[in-house]
Amino acid sequence: MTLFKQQAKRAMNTRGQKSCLVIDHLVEALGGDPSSSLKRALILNYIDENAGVTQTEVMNHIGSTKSSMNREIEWLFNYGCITRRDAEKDGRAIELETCGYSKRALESALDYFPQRHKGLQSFVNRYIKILKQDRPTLRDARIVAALYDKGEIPKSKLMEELYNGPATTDNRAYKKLIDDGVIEDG
Amino acid sequence: MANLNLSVFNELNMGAAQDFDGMEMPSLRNDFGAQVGNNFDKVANEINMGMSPM
Repeated sequence: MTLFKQQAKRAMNTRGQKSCLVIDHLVEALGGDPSSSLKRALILNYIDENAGVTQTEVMNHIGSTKSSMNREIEWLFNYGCITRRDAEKDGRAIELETCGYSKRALESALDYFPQRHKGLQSFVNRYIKILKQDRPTLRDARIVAALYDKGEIPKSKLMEELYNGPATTDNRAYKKLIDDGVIEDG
Repeated sequence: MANLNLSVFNELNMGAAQDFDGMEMPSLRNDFGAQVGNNFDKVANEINMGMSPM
């Protein structure tokens, strides 16, 4: 994308709209799955920022157990988000890189951040902190971002903002956010 | 009607200013704002975001 288009993209949306768009791009980058965790988005972002990084390096940076990281890397590989190849220097190590639709969608999200990957990392970490859950998802973040963008809206309108998933899943996420005191329903 | 918790709204707003615009955003909330609550904070944030004519 040209610098002009990037600037226009940043200027033409409010912060609330940008927040929603960034999360939509992350869902797209993660196989269209809004149940993906925000941590998974952080992993993808880190791999994109450091092409050729090893799984151990990602694990050390993100702060995750080996089994949990194995599952995430396996998921990203199976959904075509990353490639894996043997490291040239160390045959036991696997180097990771983002690719294809996932890389393109992530790039669309990064366009909104002057500091690129660092900005996106800060953005995702803020939602992780706010959501106060063991495994906050992109769906949870999108509910919060929609309310940040639109202010007070009927619950039905809020649900329309989401991703056409099962209504029970959306409702469960909504209720959890109320129980946690993140959103209010009055 | 669904609404964001006020402190969550403020945190998101300050964070968004940093992440999207690279700026530190001072809070306009003061004791008066704490008393009158939600409306004051929302107007204050709108001023911060340049959305209000004030």
